Amino acid sequence: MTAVPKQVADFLRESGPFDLLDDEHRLNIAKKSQLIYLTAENHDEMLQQHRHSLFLIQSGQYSVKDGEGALKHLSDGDYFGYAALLDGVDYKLDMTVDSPGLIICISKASFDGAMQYPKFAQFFNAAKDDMLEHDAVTDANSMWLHKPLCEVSQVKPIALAKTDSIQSAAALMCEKAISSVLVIENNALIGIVTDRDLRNRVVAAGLDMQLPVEHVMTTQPAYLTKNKTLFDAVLLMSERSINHLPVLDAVSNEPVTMITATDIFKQQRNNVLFVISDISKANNLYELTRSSWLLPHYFSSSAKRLGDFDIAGKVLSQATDVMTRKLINFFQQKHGKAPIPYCWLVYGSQAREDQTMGSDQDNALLFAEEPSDEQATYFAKMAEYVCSGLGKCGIKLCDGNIMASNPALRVSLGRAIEESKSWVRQPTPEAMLAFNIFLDARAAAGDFSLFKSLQKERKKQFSNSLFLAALARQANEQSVPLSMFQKFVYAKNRPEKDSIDLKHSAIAIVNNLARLHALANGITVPSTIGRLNNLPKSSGIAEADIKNLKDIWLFLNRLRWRHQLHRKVQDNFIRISDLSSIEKHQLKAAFKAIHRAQQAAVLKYSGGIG
Amino acid sequence: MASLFAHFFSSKAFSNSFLTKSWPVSKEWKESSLLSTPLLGIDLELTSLQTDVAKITSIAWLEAKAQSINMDSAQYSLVRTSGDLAQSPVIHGLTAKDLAQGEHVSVLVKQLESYSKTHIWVLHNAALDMQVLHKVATSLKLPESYILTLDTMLLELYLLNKAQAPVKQNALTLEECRQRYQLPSAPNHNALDDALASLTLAFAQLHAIDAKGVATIGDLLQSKAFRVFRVGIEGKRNVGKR
Repeated sequence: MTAVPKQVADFLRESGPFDLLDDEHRLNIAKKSQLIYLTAENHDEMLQQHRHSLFLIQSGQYSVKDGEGALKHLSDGDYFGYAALLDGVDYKLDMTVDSPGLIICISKASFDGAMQYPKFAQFFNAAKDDMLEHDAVTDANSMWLHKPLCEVSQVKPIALAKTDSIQSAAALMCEKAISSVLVIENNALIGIVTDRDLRNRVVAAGLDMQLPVEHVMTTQPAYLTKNKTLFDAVLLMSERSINHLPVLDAVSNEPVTMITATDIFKQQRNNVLFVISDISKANNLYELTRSSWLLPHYFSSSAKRLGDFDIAGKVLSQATDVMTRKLINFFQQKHGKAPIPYCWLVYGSQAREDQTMGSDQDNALLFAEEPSDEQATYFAKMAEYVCSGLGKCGIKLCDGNIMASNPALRVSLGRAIEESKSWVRQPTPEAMLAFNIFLDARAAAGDFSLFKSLQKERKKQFSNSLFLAALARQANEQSVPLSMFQKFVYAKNRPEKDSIDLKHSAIAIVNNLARLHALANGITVPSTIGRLNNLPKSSGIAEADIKNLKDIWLFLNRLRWRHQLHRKVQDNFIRISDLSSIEKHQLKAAFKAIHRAQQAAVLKYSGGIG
Repeated sequence: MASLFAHFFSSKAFSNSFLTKSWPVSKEWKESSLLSTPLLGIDLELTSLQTDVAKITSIAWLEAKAQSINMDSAQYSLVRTSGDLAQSPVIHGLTAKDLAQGEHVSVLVKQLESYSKTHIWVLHNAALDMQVLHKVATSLKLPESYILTLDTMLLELYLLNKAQAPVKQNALTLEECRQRYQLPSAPNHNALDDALASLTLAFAQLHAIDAKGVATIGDLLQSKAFRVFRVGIEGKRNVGKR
């Protein structure tokens, strides 16, 4: 009897995108594969013999130049040979075997068969273009509407048999305080009886209540399977004008729960827009903190999907803006209007609108003129009140004391301009580190025109080429956590063995690069995506590279977002073992692309002086 | 079988591998190039380590040549058997019901016979499995075949001794040996997985000895890892090429 060894079948199952194929298809591919031991001595002959194959590395380390691509250092879980298969061109594979090992050769026929799966094809097409696979990014990203039905309601449905009397149905509904019951036969759904049926078909018609429910039930009722989303339910329920929707198991067809109009209403109540509107309706600090604390709760219950980050970062930043304005308002109700025009500035993630639940507050005050002692005292009190108020609302105080409550961060417009001149004049590495955070800035409250004037002045200074060169070098100092053989380099001194600091070793680098390009091109928007979107054609950066950088940024943030929600933590140390096989590939591709973008930036802005 | 054996490394079974009688390697084999000779990775799951009472519960094999394994050649069969399963179900996860549905051992032994003259059989601890096969073939009154085996366990012992590395307890288990060549872990007491694991271990070992792949079998006889076993009734000769 032919069979596939478990170690081969398992390895293929763990290797994305083969994990997307169904078991039978994958076993068939395994059965038709060849397992070779590739060494420095035999690789020329072996690769020739197995040309037109997809190669999947099971062990060993190899440096491979696949077609026209760059030299890559590959190890277990990596593929090569796909460029030739995709392009139908017999590219020469240049290889050095750094340490010998086992390689699974998958035939062209098997590969072509699997390429019929769009996601499988997407993976290799993206790999060939050295791009991050866009799937995660193009995924829809609405929040509550995309919740799977099994998460919306877990209440077991109440059911009875078709021979039970109408009265017993009504009694059951009464007892359980529900407005509908399911009628089942052999565990399968055959009908539904609702309040409306009892009114219209029984009471109004004067029907005998001892008749079996099958006389009044709605047969073949509308239903959805539990893998469908709330959005599907809303559509179906409004299309059919029904208030009760049974949810069935996709395989057994057994009813698993019931979605009612009330469930949908409840979900809507939890909608983030309601939370924000609650925040803006707060009349005092107590109400404000109470509604603010609903935010993390909301996110952890309703924004579990990877794509939810995209709007979550924005929502959190906007919510923080609203809290700030409310707090300033509360303060002024008590202590009177501000004596001179001021602007409340926000920095870092809040400015970029990519705040996470672990982000701390970074803010400052900008004045139209030098305040008098009395005015300074007013603002000191206001800053203290707002910063500690934000803290109470769940926005952590800043460890680095980048807060308006710090007197050094309450300056006049004139002084702020002088300050930025000094940054440009002496961009030492220490100074860069200190003022980097101030380069992502946004006005959140007060007189926005003050901030605009500051931006206008700074724009001229920051496009200074020596300053940009220094920024480029700084952006190049941090490197992505990938070894020469494309293995993840894990963070040290962590309790878990396989974590990566996604913030400092990846996301921050992309932020730095986007900032650099934005400053060089006079773009004043603070968000990373906004900056990349606004880069002009004359910026000298290829559109495809910009798009890829955006995708990478979103992807990394989504991974971090999921990590924080699923593990209920606020740190940035994602575990590699939490990632799917495809995500691991994507993460490596993202790291490689970041590395390339860093090198390109150094070349572009500092004339190659790394 | 190979991994099962591991636990009894220092016991009777180990000494068996040396004490078992073997026959001289023929001149034709000696002159054959190792790289171009086809290999057969094979493993038996047994009910016991005592060859006199052991019964085969499953047999698996795969064909290889020139450091390539054709997955399509992978065969795995349960052997129809009755009687005491001893510890086998615990280790291999096979139940009496599985085994009652298996193939009759004579069918499998006859299928294997077609590899006896053309392939070097690769096993981790060849002596044990070959003795059991011999016992089965004899009871089936099959004519004798002389099978050239490559024992990856003995080859590893040779390599360790050559490197003057101390041979610690359990150093010769299939899993330990594979780790020395950075081969992926294959922790599976299943005949097919053990057969594949021994075969890929042999690739790595042979590469360590003869990276260029120019050696003949004769060149490697000093390793004492190549041995000929007789399977079947003595004198009832099956005339063949070698």
